[in-house]
Amino acid sequence: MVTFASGVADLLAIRELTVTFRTGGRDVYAVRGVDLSVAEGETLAVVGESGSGKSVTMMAALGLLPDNAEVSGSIRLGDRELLAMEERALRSVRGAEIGVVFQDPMSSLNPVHTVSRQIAEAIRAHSDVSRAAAHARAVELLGEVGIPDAKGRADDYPHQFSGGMRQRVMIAMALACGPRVLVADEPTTALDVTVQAQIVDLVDRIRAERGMSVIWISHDLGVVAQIADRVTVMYAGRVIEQGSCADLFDAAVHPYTARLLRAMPRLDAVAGAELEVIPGSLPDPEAQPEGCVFAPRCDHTLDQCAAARPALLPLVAGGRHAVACHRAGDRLTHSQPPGLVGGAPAHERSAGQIVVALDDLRVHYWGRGSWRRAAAPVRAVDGVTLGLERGRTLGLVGESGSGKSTLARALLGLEKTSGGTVAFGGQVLHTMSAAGLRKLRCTAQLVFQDPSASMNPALRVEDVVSEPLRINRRGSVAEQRARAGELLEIVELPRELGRRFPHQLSGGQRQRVAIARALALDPQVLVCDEPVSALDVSVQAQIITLLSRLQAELGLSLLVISHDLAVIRTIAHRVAVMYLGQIVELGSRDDVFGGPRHPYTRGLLDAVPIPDPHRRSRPVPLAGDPPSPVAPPPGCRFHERCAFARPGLCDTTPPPLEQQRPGHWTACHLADEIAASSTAPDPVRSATG
Amino acid sequence: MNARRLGLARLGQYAIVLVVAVTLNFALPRLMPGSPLALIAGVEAGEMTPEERAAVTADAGLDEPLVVQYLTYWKSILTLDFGYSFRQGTPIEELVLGRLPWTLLLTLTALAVSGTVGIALGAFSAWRRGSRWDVGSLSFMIALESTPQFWLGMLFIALFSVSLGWLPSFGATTAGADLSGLAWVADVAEHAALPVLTLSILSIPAVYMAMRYSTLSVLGEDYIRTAQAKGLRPRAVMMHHVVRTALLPVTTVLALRLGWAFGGTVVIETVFSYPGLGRLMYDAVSARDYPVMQGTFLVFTIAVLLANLLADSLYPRLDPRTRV
Repeated sequence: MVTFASGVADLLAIRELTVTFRTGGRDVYAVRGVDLSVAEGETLAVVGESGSGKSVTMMAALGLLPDNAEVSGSIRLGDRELLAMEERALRSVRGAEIGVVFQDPMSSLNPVHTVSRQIAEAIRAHSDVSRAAAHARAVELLGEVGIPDAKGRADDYPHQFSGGMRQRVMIAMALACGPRVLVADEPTTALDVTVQAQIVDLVDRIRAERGMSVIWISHDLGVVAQIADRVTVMYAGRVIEQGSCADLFDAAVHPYTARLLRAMPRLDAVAGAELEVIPGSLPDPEAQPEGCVFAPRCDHTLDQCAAARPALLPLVAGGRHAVACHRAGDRLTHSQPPGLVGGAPAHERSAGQIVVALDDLRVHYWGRGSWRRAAAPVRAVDGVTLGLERGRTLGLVGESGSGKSTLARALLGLEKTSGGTVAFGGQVLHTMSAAGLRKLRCTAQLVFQDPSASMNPALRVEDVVSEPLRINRRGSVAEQRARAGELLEIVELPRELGRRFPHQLSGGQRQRVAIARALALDPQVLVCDEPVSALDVSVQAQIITLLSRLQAELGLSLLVISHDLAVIRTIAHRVAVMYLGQIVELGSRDDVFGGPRHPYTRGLLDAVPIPDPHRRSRPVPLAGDPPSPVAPPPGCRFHERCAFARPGLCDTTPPPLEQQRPGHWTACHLADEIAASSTAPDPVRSATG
Repeated sequence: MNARRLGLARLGQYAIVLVVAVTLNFALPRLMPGSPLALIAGVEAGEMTPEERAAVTADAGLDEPLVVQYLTYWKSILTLDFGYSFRQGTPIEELVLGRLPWTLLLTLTALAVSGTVGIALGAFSAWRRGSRWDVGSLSFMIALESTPQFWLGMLFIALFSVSLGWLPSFGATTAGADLSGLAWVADVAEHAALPVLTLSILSIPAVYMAMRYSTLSVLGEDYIRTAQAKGLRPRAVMMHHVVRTALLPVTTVLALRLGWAFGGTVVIETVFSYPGLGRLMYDAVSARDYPVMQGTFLVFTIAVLLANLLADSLYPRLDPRTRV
């Protein structure tokens, strides 16, 4: 139906694809009619939130859907129709002509086989070569994707690699047979932002070298803006907009695309900018709406929106920017509705009262040593001094393994400290009695990353929310139930939801329930460990806005941990940057993001992809992985990865965390010099002034 | 910590279990009702004269303090001197060593058969999850799991020995026949067939269930999807990725099944009048032959410990993640 006048032939073309899962008399419409295509040598990004059907579409192209999936439409690779192929023929396409990289490299690699064996297996499945030749080729591939000492590491097992290296192994495997199309399904979602930048660069380099097409499935618009030539936006199983990357980011036409772009926390936004919230949620996957799938959440609906399905039509005849919206020609102005605001108030310098104080806190994990000599401890948290101010938000950022979560757990008294103190309003945690500790715990509560894993699936939502009251014997059963209803309303959920079970809720609703539960005991301190990482962009904005509102209303002190710097920038008043168990930079949000003084903070910020296709030239991403916290490097722990490190100083003397500017602490010998040197242009600073 | 040290630590744990087992074995007859004299003499102590009693007690060292008795017991174990069966008068070690090969023949063959069949059926059942075949075999396995051993044994005797007359129903060899070479092997195999069959069949369900469950969870793993996306044939996916990984937890089940099979021989060898350790134990219990009971108990314990040790040392070879 949609034809694009272009000189480039489509390599993989999907037309009118529908996928329906039939389960026990109920039909789930996962893909409701998708048209997309990728040309030779092109990178197509498929963007959508969970439930948009983007992964299912790609699995359909590979013939990897479960047996209960009913597929119709057309998927053509070159001049061959994949949907009409027999399994045997399709197998020769999978892996050989279409390579796939999945999201989580740890679970996507078989733990009991060496990496070279798993790569060689892919080679031998499609060509008749000897074991030795396949192994040699596997080593070559590992070198190509940037595994240091590829020959020596080829016979290691997946668990012996770091997350980023594992994803490189996955890419090597996908490249094994020289595919024409590489499908990357959320390949960087499970990775740190620094590693993500490395993987994005790697895939782009390989695509250019091999002239391969890449289909990059992602929910992260920042990454998409950095890598894609064209973008396809999916919503509820349909393509609602597609076009060149620049067109889409500069002049999104579909209301959903426009709102998605504004719902996303971004580093180049004005500091303290408000996030737009997309109210509502995805349509019922078991319903087959007559009209536009986005109509129930759209501000611009006409009568026809609910009645007829809008076709995906080019804006200009023959153009490449196509939109599925009845009002595509109306030049809608996507203004932000008033009242839906988020974000922390900016420019507050006055230091508040300290609610929780950490003093030289240490948490070391002791492995099992021999009977003669103790093993070296894992220094998860190694001397952290921090204060959490009343009614304010402290953001804690750092790569995985930097000790963020351990710090949070130690703050709550859930982790045995090895040194230093945690004090709540002057009361030191480890000197308290068990009863006192229990009482204190009521004042500090925790919200986890994965809301479904942190709830008992056998309890109704109201029982989940009132459980803290039950445990602490607060009030009668009726009172507890009434309070649960109130709490649900506080987090903007209808009371009636209390009768449901957690699995009947959406991800965003579950996280609201988790927050309601944390509020049950009227805490003063709320620790949120990656509170929005498991959620979609539009839902992230809702939760961030909710947390800010609750803070203002209830005077909560928040500690928010996130690997997503844009989220921290939106929500936090003060920011602490953690590296290998220590704080390397601490200051107000504007100081840290606007004028980072530690090279690590800078590296982190540079690695964050900016959702702007016109700003692609970025500094070289921070190389390598953090060293082991068992044997941290001497001197400055960061010196091995630091471009500025000075031998004789940085590798011998650990820099103290000093207040080098008013209210801005940095642990770096060379901070002044680095700040003075004009290295790569910093988009963050230019945007925030 | 290196692998050797870990191995030593594990051996230490087994040594502790062994010490506890030996101590229980030492305490057992002393906790039994009645005089420990019965243990040695095998007759009611009341039937003896006081002089006889004193003589027997002193002879057996029962007048020594308990600690001394305990140490003496350890000494006898370490020197493989387990005393004499009062019923037959033969040294225990001779009895046990004579019977052990027959029991090992039954249990190890049964383990091999039930392991192979259980793993194959379990993997296949999971592969065809929800099919008629899967539901049927699962129901059958549950029924089999609840079948009493002696009942199945007697059923086989009635069917294969009495009605059809295909296989002998008792003994390990044909009594009086002086066979050698292949004829002897065939004779032994014929006699072992029914007990092995009974033991194997009853051991299959546990292995089947473990393998089916383990395979099902592996089938849901992301790396199976990766293997398929590489374009591997279904059989290659099944063999190299699914079964290979699903076997990990099943090895533990197999080791436990060996212990179970040893216990099962008490009933099976009695039903089939098979001259193994199980039968020896059964006879010893019937005749209250305590020294023999203690001896067989100890052998059973050591066998189960060895099976677990084997599974433990096999595990790191199968799962690289557990290598230190």
